[in-house]
Formats: sequence, C-alpha cells, structure tokens
Amino acid sequence: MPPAFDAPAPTPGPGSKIASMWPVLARRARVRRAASQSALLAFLLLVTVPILLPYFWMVVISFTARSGGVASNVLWTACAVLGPALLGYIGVHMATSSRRLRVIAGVALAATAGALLAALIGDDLHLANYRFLWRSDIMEELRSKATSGSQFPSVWTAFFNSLALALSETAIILVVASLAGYYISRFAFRGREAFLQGLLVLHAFPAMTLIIPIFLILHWTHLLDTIVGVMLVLATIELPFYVFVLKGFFDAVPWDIEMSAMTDGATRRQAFRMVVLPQVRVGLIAVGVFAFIRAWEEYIFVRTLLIENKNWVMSLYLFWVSDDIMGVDYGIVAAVAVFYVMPSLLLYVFCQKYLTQMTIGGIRG
Amino acid sequence: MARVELRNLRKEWPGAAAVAGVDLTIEDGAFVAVLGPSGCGKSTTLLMLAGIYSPTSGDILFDDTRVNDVEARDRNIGIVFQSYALYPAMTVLENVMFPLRFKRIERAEAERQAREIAALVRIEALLERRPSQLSGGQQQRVALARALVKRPHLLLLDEPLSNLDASLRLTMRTEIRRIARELRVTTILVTHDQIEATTMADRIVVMNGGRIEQEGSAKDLYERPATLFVATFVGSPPINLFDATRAGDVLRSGAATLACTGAAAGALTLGIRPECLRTGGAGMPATVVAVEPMGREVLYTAEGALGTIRFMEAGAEAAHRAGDEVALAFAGPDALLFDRASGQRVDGRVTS
Repeated sequence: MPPAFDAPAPTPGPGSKIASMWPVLARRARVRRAASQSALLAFLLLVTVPILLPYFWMVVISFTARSGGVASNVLWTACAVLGPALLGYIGVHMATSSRRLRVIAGVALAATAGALLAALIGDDLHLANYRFLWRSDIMEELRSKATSGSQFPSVWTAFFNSLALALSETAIILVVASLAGYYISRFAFRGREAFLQGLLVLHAFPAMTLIIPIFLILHWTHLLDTIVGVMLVLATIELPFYVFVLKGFFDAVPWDIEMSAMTDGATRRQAFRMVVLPQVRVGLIAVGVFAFIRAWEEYIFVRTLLIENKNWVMSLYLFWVSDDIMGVDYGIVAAVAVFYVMPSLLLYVFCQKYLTQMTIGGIRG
Repeated sequence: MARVELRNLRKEWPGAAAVAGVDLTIEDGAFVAVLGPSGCGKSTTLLMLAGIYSPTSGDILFDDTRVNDVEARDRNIGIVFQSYALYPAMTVLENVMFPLRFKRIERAEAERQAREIAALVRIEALLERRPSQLSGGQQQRVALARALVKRPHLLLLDEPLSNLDASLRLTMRTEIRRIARELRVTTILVTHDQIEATTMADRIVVMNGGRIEQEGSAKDLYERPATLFVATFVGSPPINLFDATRAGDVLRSGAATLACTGAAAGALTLGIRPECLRTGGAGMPATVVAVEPMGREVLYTAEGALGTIRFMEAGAEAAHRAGDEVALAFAGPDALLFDRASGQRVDGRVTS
C-alpha cells in the first residue's frame, strides 16, 4: 500500500518530482517484501526436512515393510507425491487470502495425493507389523522359542507401566511444584534467595552423574526394579525446574486478588484453591504435559533401574524389540515406535497452545 | 456499621516503620478519607484494618472491642482495591456472590442478595460477563458490589478512582458517596488525590511518613494547615513558600520586608497561596514572566522582591502578559507562617 496521504499539488518545485516517484517506490517495496518472504519460506522448508523425514519414514516403514526388510522406494514414491502436493498448497496459501479457496485447494490436493498414493503404493500397505498389539508371543514367532521364550511381555504391560509412571510423576510434580512455587513466590523466609539459586544449580547438573548412587539408594531401600522407585527418582530430578517455572507463574498473579479473597471470607488455603490456582491454569497444564512427556520418553533411568520384564516400560520394550542378536525386524520396530510416539504426540497437539506460553516465562497472554 | 478506633498503631518492616504510631477514631457511619503521598503508610494502615497485615504494636478496635487477632475473613469488612482485584475466572455474578460462599446461605438466597446489591450499584445488565469484558468503570462497580454484598461493618476503598478517566471519576465519586450513604456503612477512603478526599469525605486525615499530620474538614486543612506538609499537600496549584526571618514588627524574606504581628519568631517559612494574591492595587512590585491559561482562571509566574512567585486570577482571558509590571497584595485568607525547624504552623499575621 502506498502511504495514505495525497501527493502535493503539481506546483514547480521538488514536490511534483517526488509525487511521480510513489508508484515506483511502492512497486519496489512489494517486490522486496515478496522476495524476502519467499527466501524465509524456502529456508524454513529446508531445515524442516531433516526433522520431519525420519518420522515420516518411520510411519511409512511401519505400514509397508515385509519380513523385516526395508524398501526405500516406497518412501521416495510417497515423498514424490506428497512433496509437490505440500508445495502446491503453500503456493495457493501465499497466492490467495480467501479462506474458501484455500480449503478447496487443500481438499483437491489431498484427494489427488491420496489417489496417487493408492495407485502407486497401495499394494504395499498392510497392518501386519502392528500385530504385536494383539499377539504377545510375537518375539517367539520372529526368533525362536529357544532364544526368546516368554522373555517378552505383552506390549500392553509395558504401555500401562509407562502410563502409570508418567501419570504418577505428573501428579507428584503438579502437587509439589505448585505448592512449593506458591510458597516461594509469596513468602519471605531465611535462605529464600539461596534456595532459588539452588533450584537452578540443581537443574544445571547432569542427572546421569548420579546414576550409581541412585542405583545403590534404590537397592538399599528395596525400590530397585519397581515403577515406584523410578517414579520417585524422576520426580526428584525434575522437580527443581518445575518449581522454578511455577514460581514465575505465581509471581504474575497479583496479591490484590488474594487479599480480596481473604477479606471476602476465604482462608488462605481457600484463596489459593479458588482464586490463585485458576489464574495459573496455563502454567499447570504446561508443566503437567512436559512432566508427562518427560516420564513417557525416559530411557536411561528405566534402563538402569528396571530389570524384570514385567516392569518394562515402552522405551525398554522398544529397545528389546530392536535388539538385533538374531537379526532385527525393522517393520515391527517402526510399528512399535509409532505406537510409542502416539500418546505424547496427541498430548502435544491438544495442549500446544498452552505449551507455547510457558516458553515466555510465565507471562500469560 | 461500626465505630473504628486505632490506638498507637505501628507497623515495622525490617529497617523501616511504615506506620509509626497512629491514633484515630472514626465514628459509626462516617466517611473518612486518608490522604497522603505514596509511601506515607496509608495503604499499610488500611491493610492492617482489613486484617491482611498484623500490627507490630498498638490496637485496632471495632466498637470498643480489640480485633488485632481476628482473622481477615472474620472481620466483616468490604474492600475495593485500586486494581479492583476481580476474579478473572468467574463471571460478574460469581464475583459478587463469592463472599457469600463462605456464609451459611442457600444458593438461591445468595443470588437474590447479589442481584439486590447489583441493582444498587447498577450492574444488573453485566452479571453474565467476565471481568475482562468490562470497562474500567464497570469493573469498579463490580468490585464495589462484591465488597458490599455481605453488608460489611466497614468499607475500605484503596485508591478506588485512580484507574478511571476524568469524567468517570466524577461519576463514581458521586456514586460511591450515594451508595455509602444509602447503606450507612462506615467508609474509609485511602487516596493521594486531594480532590477525591475533599469531595467525598466528611473528614480528612492527612498522613505523612507513617504519622498523622492533621485531621479535619477540607476547610480546616486548606485554611488552617497544622504543618508545612499539609499546606503543600492540600491546595492546587501548590502554595508559594519562602524562607523568612522575623525581626520585631517586620518579616524579612529575600529582598522583601512585610509587616508582621503575632507570636511567630525566629527562622520561619512564609506560605502564600497563589489564589490569595491580587493585582490592581498597592502591593509588592513584581514582573510577570510566564502566563498559563487554565480555562476558568489564569496562572501567572512572576519575579519580585520575594523571588519567584505564582499567582492566579479568575477569568479565561489573561489580564497580564509576560513582561508586565504588577503589584501583588494578599487577599482572602492570610499568608501562613511555619516554624522552619519543626514545620509546625505558628500564629502570625502578615500584611503586604
């Protein structure tokens, strides 16, 4: 858009000359803006590819691999169809701002891509790799009874172990971190500054360095090889950071509404529950999601502290499936990986609008 | 409806006393303003009354009963904060009903009471909205309704008007007065705005440095300020101040010599309000250096024997221009004299 004021009247002087320049300047600005936007888009596409491609490949393998082998031609065929479709949609998106046109173009491109995929690789798609979901003896089938007889639990055992671990860690972290964060935010006590700095220092330590002492402590307390033990360890290691994050959210809640609630007749606890907590809802959701995903994806500690196969979690299940003493079946590994990724992906998709608010340090929009 | 008494009330923070011994009695049903600059301890006093802070020493009495150790929630006080402190997650109706949740009142009855108070403060049409959907003036009314819904003994207002624009402030001033009078609730208004204090309150308490400087009516504070602080804080535009020395029958200040009678002696501060100076007769000669039309009156700055002095004259048109020679004489209330060391006002009559 050209600047919104009238060009000076064509009287002799520099004014008329400038007025004739406006269209040229405007065109130049438009071209420059389009160029810089295209460059940015190209750059973003370029850096996204190495991140998205492995995930995409994983999904493709899980639905196409047969008897352990991986055929990369299916992947390239799928990319050859989906890549142009995606680029085409981006082009339409940039060319028009009409919502209707965008939707129509999107549906048309998706239908075309779907039809092409069905025609080109439809025969290769199958669900056999997902049979681990209903057959717990899949490892005996793949290897032999002699090597893996009854070593493998059902995937659902691992799934529910993971779920129990992640949910209980989330619960512990939410309860402790919200109470501690509130207390640090609101009360003055001796050593408060040192405590705050301590929280950050603790978080800066690589927790792996503690793995031997933690192993011994769990052994002595008879919590080794229990989900409860791992849950306590993970919660302890993660808590300092979440206390700090939630303190930031509580800092942003004005004192006034608490004082107001207390003169309105609430006890301090009631004021906390009825007035303050709803104000930090976004922070609680963000912390809860991160705590859940963190426990869901945990590998090192569960690998060290859980031994018996009835205590396996999903990451251990995946590890043992891909253990390749007898030759590995990549189709099943990919299918287990897709199954493993699903819960955290779904959680992320549904909560991402809260998560983005945590990254700006407790300042709510 | 309660009579409130403060006895030698103190609140000390590490390193400083926010409230350094306040004695104050507020009669049942009175509307009192506590006026002072920020940091003078007025809000701390209010929060001690509300029971949020506990006093370091001294007593708070409601109807002659000591309530120091009574919890905030049991004091039956309504409070309106400067920020209004509405609960963002609740609707207006839920906000207003919030204080009733802690009383043994049935929901239907609570809602009836909430609607009644909503009608009193005229927010019936807003009850389903959220605080974020309200304008500043509407939020203010909701905060007032929430403070009043449980029929408090005492209504505390902490700078309630300072977030409103000028015309709303005028409306809400009248509204708050009307509501306080209708409910006959003892009301304490904390403010740094002298206009708010003088227009709304029956009695004004001026605080400074954690102490009460003076209490009285607006007229008392304006005409007979007890201290130099009150004289500078009350009155707009601010009072002219000059160092002065009493010597026999005359008061010397700068190059000026003024006739003086009364008890005042020694090193003094002479205070002359801009609106108490007149031109157009005999008086101290001065040269106008700046002219500031303010609408209904014009404020002038002049250089004279006393030094730089401001004076104000009624009328939209400026009667003098920069560079004009004028003669300034006292009119209306006398000039004020203060002891320079203690800041206390001393008796003395000065004539130009």
